[in-house]
Amino acid sequence: MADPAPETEAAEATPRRDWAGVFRSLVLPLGLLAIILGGLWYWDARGEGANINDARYGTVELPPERNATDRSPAVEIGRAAPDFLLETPTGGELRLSDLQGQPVLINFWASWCAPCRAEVPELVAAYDRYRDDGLVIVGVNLQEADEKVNEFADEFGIEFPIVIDRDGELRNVWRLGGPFDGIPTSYFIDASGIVRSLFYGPMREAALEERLAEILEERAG
Amino acid sequence: MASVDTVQRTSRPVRGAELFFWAWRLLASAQFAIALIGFLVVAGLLAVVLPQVPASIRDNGAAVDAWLALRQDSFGPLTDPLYRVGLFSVVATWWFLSALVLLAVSVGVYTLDRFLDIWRNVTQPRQQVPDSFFERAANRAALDTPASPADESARIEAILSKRRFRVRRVEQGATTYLFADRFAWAQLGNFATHIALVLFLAGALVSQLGGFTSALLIAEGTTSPVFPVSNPQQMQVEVLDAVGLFDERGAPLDYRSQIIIYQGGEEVARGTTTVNNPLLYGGYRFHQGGYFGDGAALRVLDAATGNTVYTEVLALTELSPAPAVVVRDAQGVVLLDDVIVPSDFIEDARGELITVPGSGHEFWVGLSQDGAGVDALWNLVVYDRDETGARFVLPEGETRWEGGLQWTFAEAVGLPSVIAPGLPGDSERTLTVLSETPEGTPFLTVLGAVEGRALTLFPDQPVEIDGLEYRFEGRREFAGIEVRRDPGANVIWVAAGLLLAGLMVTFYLPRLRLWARVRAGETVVVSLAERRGVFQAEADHLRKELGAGRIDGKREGDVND
Repeated sequence: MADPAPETEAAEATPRRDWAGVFRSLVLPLGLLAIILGGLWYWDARGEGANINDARYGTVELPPERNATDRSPAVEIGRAAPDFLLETPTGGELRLSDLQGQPVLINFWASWCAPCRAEVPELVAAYDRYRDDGLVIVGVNLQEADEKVNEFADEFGIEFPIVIDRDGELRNVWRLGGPFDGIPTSYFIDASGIVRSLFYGPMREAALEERLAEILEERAG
Repeated sequence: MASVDTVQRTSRPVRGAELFFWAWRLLASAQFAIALIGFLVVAGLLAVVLPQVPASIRDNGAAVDAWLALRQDSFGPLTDPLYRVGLFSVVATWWFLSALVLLAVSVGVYTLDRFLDIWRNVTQPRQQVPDSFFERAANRAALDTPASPADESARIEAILSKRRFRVRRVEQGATTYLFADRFAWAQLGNFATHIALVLFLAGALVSQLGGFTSALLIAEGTTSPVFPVSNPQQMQVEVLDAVGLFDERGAPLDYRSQIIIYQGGEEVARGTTTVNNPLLYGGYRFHQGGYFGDGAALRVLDAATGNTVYTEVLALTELSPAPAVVVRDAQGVVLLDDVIVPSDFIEDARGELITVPGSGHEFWVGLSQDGAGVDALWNLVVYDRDETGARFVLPEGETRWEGGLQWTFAEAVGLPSVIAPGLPGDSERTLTVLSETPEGTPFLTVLGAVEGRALTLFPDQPVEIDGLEYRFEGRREFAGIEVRRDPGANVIWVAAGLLLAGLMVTFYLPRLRLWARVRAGETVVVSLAERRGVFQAEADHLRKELGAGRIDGKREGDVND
């Protein structure tokens, strides 16, 4: 048997060139990391929670004839408020654009939020004062169970309509809390559906009155 | 007239096998994988730098339009083009997902390519080596075997087979070649170990980047969200019952809570959580991480409408000093043994007007302090309201007779208390103090809600003042719930298993591959330049079993006796 160099020959059974070099050695670790991280990212970003709710509910197209501006809806002062259709905790539905013709205060809240609890009595009182003037307050609860929402409404004597953002979708459109990313947050919308002012945090009577006056005057005017 | 020369090219159709091998080589190429990784890194950076359309609204055109309208301020006319090429939803674009899948395939092929090399070496080992290898091998043993090659090779084969070698024989003329292999598959141990190390790194990084931890302090009967504000996967945790068990010295023995988890408005899990046995739901672990026993549920209603205007479970995390006092009559009968909750001030003393039972006297009993900090000394200050207005001061731990009564200032104790901001009433800052009667009934003292008056609230005994009804709804305990998600944990477990298996196989299995050349009068056994100890042991064993001697003139590297 006259074969080539035996040690190397035998060693060739496991060729090392495929692993050789720093550049090549990076492939497996970096590749695995990229796959795992990318996969994880995709998994997180695929919107699992969106399936919690019926896809009909959430932000909906604002009918063009109900857009009093020449720009697309956005949560900015002077622009048409984005429309939404949400369920009430009592089994009904409420569409924001159906309230056009009346001044609307939209208040985002949750029962676990202490500042929201502090603010609710002010809203209840304001609704009592101005409901005959056409004011509608819409309380948008964030992702809580119907029973908890109803229980809360009963405790505080809330008579204005409440809807539930079950999958938290509205947060991304309505920029809750602005830079502070929190609740309560309130939006004051005039009778033509245009955002006139907003307030981050719990409102006291003076702040509430000042902003309500603006949208109530619009209607009177 | 110009003529046109044409060259007719002959094309050979690409065969399917060639296409496959071309694709295999591409996917197994390190450069290709690195290029894909680079592309994904750049895409990932863009996804971090640029705002991304939240997943929960991605399929809702109206919501996306409203979201994009808000981006106009930052990106102006570029907003729409950036959205159209997918830079506002990078991880959901076809090109990102394609690159990710291609990289997964590439790394799989790359690893498989390497694995196939090892597998070939395991299943199709080189059974014959050149004669020169029998002279120069690093591990070499030359044995004196006087019998015929056929007999000696049969004996060697039998001996090696008993030692769990798989033996194959090739006869060439007067020479017999043997190849013996034991635990060949153990070569995979190194492969497993290396994969494990990579997985450890990946697991740690995944845990770091994709993990979630949140600590919640939740009172009994209340709910807290897992994520701040709203989230597509938002969950709420409700604590039904929080229990803290302590030994006689006050050291905690066990914390446990009954909790309910809600998601999307529905109850999705319910059970008991403890420190070591969390409740699991949706990849999240809900641990009991702490316990706090001094809470008080306080509600205020509008007396006219019955509507709640304030409701909180207060965590009484501060301590308010109060004197523990014992008063006896001349016969030594205990008339009072209680902690007096201060509700007003006289000079620098904080105290309360009390009636000592059986004495018919009213006293103002308070606490004053000499000094500050840990060196502070406490004094009991007593005014007799009914007699002469006599005043006496009693240091902590001392007893004094006064007006026929024996006063003992047992100690100054700290009562759970907290400022309750926003409590309806006359003051913006209201102090609430939780205490118990000698019979063990809890009561809440509210200072500041009504000017000039302390409210003492017992459970279910509301007090109505100025159109407001104050209700102490009872003592409440708090559970510290820690919510965790560790997506890298399973990867780490797999890595640990692989590492352990790889190390066991590599270090504890006596893997060995031998080649033997048997000629008349001499047998040479060799192996590769590794596992020298195992080779030496096997060569020694073989020599003893054969009863063979060592051939003189051994060269360097031969095995010694």
